[in-house]
Amino acid sequence: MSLSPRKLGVALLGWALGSAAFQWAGLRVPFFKLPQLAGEELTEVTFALARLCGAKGTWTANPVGFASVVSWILLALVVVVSLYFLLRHAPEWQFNPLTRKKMHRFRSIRRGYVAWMILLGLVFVACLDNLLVGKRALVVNYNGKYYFPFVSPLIPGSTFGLPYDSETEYRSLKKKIAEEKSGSNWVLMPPVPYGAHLDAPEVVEELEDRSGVIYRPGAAQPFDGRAYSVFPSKPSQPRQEWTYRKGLRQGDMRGWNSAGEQVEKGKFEEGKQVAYSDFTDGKAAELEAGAGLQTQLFPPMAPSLQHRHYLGTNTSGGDVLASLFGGLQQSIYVVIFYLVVTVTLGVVVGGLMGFFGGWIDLFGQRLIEIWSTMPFFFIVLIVSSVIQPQTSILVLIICLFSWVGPTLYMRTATYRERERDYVAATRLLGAGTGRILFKHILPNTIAVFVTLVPFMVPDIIIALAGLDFLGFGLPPDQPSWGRLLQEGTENFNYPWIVSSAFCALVFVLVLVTFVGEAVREAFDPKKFTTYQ
Amino acid sequence: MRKALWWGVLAASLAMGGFSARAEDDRFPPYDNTEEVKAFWKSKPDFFQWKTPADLPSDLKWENGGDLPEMGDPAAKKGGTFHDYIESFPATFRVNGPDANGTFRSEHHDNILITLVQRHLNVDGWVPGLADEWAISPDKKTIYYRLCPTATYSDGTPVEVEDFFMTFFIMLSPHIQDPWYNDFYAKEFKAITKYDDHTFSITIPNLKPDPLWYADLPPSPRHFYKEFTDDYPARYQWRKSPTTGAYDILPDGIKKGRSVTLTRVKNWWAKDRKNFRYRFNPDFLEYKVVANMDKAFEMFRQGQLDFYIMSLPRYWYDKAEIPEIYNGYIERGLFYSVYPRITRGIYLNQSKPPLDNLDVRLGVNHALNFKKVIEIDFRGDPNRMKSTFAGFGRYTNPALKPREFDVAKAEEHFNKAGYTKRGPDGVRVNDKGQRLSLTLSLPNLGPMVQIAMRLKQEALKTGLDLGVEALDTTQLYKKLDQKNHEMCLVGWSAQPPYPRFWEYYHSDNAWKVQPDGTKKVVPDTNNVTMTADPVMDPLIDQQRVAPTEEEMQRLCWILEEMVEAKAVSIPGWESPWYRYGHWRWVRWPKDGNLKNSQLPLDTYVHWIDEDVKKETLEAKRAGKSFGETLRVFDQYKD
Repeated sequence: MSLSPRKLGVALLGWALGSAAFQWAGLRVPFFKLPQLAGEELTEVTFALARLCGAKGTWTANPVGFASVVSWILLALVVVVSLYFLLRHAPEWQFNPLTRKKMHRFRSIRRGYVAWMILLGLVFVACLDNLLVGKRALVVNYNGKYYFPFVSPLIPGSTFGLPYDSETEYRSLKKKIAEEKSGSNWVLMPPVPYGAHLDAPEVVEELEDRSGVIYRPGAAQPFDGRAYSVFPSKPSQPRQEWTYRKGLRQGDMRGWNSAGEQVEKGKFEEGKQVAYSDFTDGKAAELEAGAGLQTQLFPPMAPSLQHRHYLGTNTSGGDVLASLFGGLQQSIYVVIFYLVVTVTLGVVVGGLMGFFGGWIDLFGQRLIEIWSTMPFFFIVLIVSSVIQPQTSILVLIICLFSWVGPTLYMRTATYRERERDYVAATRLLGAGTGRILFKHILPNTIAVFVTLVPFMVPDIIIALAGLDFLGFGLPPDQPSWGRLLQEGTENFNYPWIVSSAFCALVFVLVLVTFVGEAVREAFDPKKFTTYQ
Repeated sequence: MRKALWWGVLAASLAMGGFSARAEDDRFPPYDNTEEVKAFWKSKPDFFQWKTPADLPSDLKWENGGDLPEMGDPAAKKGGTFHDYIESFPATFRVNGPDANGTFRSEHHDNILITLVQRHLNVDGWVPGLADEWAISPDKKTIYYRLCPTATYSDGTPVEVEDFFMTFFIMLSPHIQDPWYNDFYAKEFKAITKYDDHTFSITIPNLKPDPLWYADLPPSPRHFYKEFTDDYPARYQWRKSPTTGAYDILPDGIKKGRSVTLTRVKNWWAKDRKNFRYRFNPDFLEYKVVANMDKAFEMFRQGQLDFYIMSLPRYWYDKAEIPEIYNGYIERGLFYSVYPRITRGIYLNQSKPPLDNLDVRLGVNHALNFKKVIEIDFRGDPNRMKSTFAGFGRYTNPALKPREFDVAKAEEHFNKAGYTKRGPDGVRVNDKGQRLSLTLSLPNLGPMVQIAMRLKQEALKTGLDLGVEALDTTQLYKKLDQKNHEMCLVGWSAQPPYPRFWEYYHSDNAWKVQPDGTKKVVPDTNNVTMTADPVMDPLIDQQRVAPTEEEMQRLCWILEEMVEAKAVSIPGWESPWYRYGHWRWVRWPKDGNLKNSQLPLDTYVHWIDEDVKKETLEAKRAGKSFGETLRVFDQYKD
C-alpha cells in the first residue's frame, strides 16, 4: 500500500469536509470530531493562561463560541494543507535515496514494524471513541423514530417517555424496553456500555432461592451479605432488608414503608426470626412486598460478563475497561500535545542557539543551566497541590521542563551542520538565512529527533501515570492509568484493577520501545551494526 | 602522609561539628523570663490576684465527684508496649503556635495531660484531676480549686498554683503566634486568684450552664517555659513540655521521621488514684510513621501494629476476610458511643455568586445525593446526618431534617433562580448564558474524591455541574481561611458541650466593615459559609453567654433552624459508632469502652496481656484457631 501525496490530499480533504459538515450539523461523530475536541482543549489552555496572566474581558465569557472558532480555523488549516498536497505537491513523494533506504530498513525490522502497525491500530481504535465505549446508545428506535444519541447533543429522558429531563440513561432505557416487550422499540448499546468517566452505575443482582437457601445466580456457594425486597409499585424503595450468612437470614432485619420511613426491625439466627418489633402497631405486616430478592453489588466488582463489566469495576464503581480505553485516548492526546510543544521549542531554541552561536548561544546555555537545576517533579507536585490542573495545563507544565533535552541535541546538531561545506556552498550561491535554515540545515538535523521522539513518548506517559499515582495528576474525573494503578496497589484484594492497568501500561510502553529501537537502528549511520 | 591527611580531615570535621553546635546555641541564648512574668502579673491586678485563705468565702460547698463510679477496669494489667501508627511525623512538639494543631498533639497532649478536673466519660459528672476538690460560687462565675499536694510533672517538679498563672502569660502572648488562643484566653476568663499554696480560684466573665467546662485550665510548668520569649515557636519547636499525665516523650523515644515512643512516667503522682489507677496501662506507646493506610494495615496483619481503626468499609468488609481474623488472632469490635459528631458536610460560600441566591442554595441542597454515597461508597453503614449540629443531645433541635436528593425540587429551585434552560451537555444555563457550574473543594484524602465524583455524577441529573477540586489539606485550609472557595466538603470535630455558632455563623467572622463603609473578608475564621445575618448576630451573642440550660437549648434550637433555613450547610454522613480491629492481647473492659469516647484508644482503658500474647503467638505458630470474634457494644445506641 502506498499513500501518494494525491491520495493523502484527497483523504485529508474528505475528512475536513466531513468534519465541517458534522460540526455544522452539531453532531459529534467519532474520528470526525477531532477538530472540535482540539478546539476545546486549545480554548481551555488559552483561557487558563489568560486567567493566569490576569486577563479580564468579555471574550472569556463565551468559551463555547471561542472553541468553535478555533476548530473552524483548524479545519481551514487542514483544507489548506490538503489542497497543497492535491495541487502543488509533486505527484510522488520525493525522498532522497538515503531516507528511502532508512524507511526501507525500518520496514524490514519486523518487530519494530509490527509494533508500529499495532500502535497505529490502537490510535485508530481510540479514535472510534464512543462507537466502542460509552454510556450513550448508538441507535435508539423509539416509536418508529431513529435517534443516534452517541453523536447528537444530549437527549432528555422525557423524549423516551422517562420521567426526567436530564440525560437519558440508556442502559436502564434498554432494560425497560426489554421488559415492556412492546413491539418495535429497541436500543443498541456500544460493545462496552459504560462511559470512561463519571459513570459509576449501581449494580443490582436478583438472587435465587434454592429450596430455602439463597444463592447468587449461577453461584455454587450460598450467598453472604445483605439483600432486600422492594415495593412492586415503587422499585426504588426497599421494603425489607436482611443480612444473609451462608444463604440463611442471620442478624438484623429492617423494614420500611413506601415513603422510606422505618416501620419494623427484627433479628434472625440461622434463618429463624428471634426478635421482632413493629413501630406501627401491626400495620407493617400488611404492607405489600415484592417476591424477588435483590442485592447490591458494591464496587469494586469482579469481572462479570453478565453485567458487561468485562474487566470488573474500580473502587468507585467505574468500568475498568472503559477507564483503560479513556486512559489510552488520554495518553495519545497527551503524547501528541507534548511532542508538538517540546519538539517545536527544541527545534526553535536549539536551532537558533546552534546557528547563530555567540551571545545567543552563551545566554541560552546559561538559561538552560539554571532551568535544568530546577527539580521538575517537585515543582509539578507543588503546582498541582495548589491548583487542580486540567490535562493540557499539566502537560504544558511538564513541557516547560522537558524542552531542555531536545534543545541541547538540536543545538549540537545545528552547530555541526552549519560548519559543513554544503552550507558554505549555499551561502556562496547567495541563499538567505531562512533558506539555509529551513531547506538545508533542518532536514539534515531532523534525524536527531526521529530517533529521540520514540524515547520521549514513554517519558511523558510514565511521568503522567506517576503523577496520577501520587495523586497530583489529572483532575479526578478524568480516566487515567496512573490512578487505576494506585487504586489497584492500595487494594490487592481486587487484582483485576491493578493487573488491567499494569498490562495496558506495559503493553503500550513495550510497543513504543520496540518502535524506538527499530527507528534507531534504521537511522543508524553505521549500517552494519547489529542491535541487541 | 596519608594518615596525616586522615587526621586532618577528622580534625576539620570535628571543628565543623563544634562550630555547628555552637552556631545552634547562638540561635537561642539562655533566657530567663521570671521577672518579666512577675511584671506581667503585676500589670493586671484585676486579673491576677493574691489573697489569703481568710478571704475564701466560708459557705463554699466543696465537691470531689467521689460518688461516681470508677473509670477503667480493675482487671487491667500494667506493662507491655502498645504499637500504633501515625501518618506523618509531627511537625513540632509544641502544643500551640504554628503547626501545633496537628493530629499527633492529641496523642501526647490533649488525651494525656491532666487538667484541674475531668469529665467522667461514662456518667454525667466531674471527677478530680489535678484538683482534689472544687467549689462553685453561688453566682456560678467563680470556681475554687484545691490542688492535689502530691501532684507533680513528669520530671518530678511539683505543680504549683503559679503554673496556672503562667498559662495566661503564655496564652495571651503574641509570641505564640496563635490568635485563637489569644482570643479565647482574653475573652473567656476574668480573673485568677491565689489563696494559699494549694488553693486558688478562676473567675469567668459570663454565666454558663455548667461553668466547669470553661473554668478548667492546663498548668504551664514555669521551669520549662523559663525561656519563653519572642523566638518561642523556633526555640520550643522540638522541646517537649513535662506533663502532668501518665506518658511523656523521653529523648530516646524520638526517632525523627520514623517513630515517637511515649513512656509511662515512673512514680506517676496519680497512679494509685481513683479514675486513673486502671487506665494508662501499657508501659510504652510506640507510634511508627506509616504514610500509607494500606501499608499500615499489612503491618497490622503481621502483628507489627497492635491495633487498627477499621471504620472504612474497605477494611471492615473486604480486607477482614483473612485467616488472622477467622482464627481469632485478630479480634474486631464495634462500639456505639455518645460524642458530638464531626460536622461533616458541604458548606456553601454565600459571598460567591450565584450562591448568594437562596434558590440556588436550596437547589444545590436537593441536588446532592448523599443517600447514594452512603448506600454505595459506605455500603449503607453510616446514617445521613440530620443537621450539622447533630450529637449535642438536648441542644440539637430534633425537628431538623436534611433536604433529600430530589431532582424535581432541585429543578424547581434552579428554575426559580433563572437557570431555566439546559445546555448541550445537560448543564443548566440562565438568560445571560452563564452555566450553573460550581467548584467543590475537598481534601485529597481517603475516599473523599470518590464521594465527590458520585455527587458530581448525580448532580448532573439536576443540571448542576460540580467542578471537583481535590487539594492537599494545607492548601485546602488556606483556601478556606481566605474564603476563596465556592463549596467545600469538610468537617470540624465538634467540641462538647454546646454547638458553637459564633465561630461559624457570626458576621464578626465574615466581614469587617472598613472606616469608609466598604466590607472586607475576615480571613482565618471558621465562618466558611460567610454568614452575616443581622437577625442572627444578637441571638448568637446571647447564646454564647446563655446562663441556663433551658435558655441555651431554646437559643440553640432557634439558631439551628435559622442556619438550616439559609441552606448553607448541607449535612453529610455520620457514624454513631467506631469499628476497630486489634490483636487478641489488647484488652478492653467488659463494656467495651467508656460511653463518651470518640475513638477506642483516647480513653486509655485498654491494656496488654502478655500471657495472652504468648498464647496467641504460640497458637498462630501451631495453626490453632480461637474462632472468629466480633464484639458489638450497642448499649449506648440511641
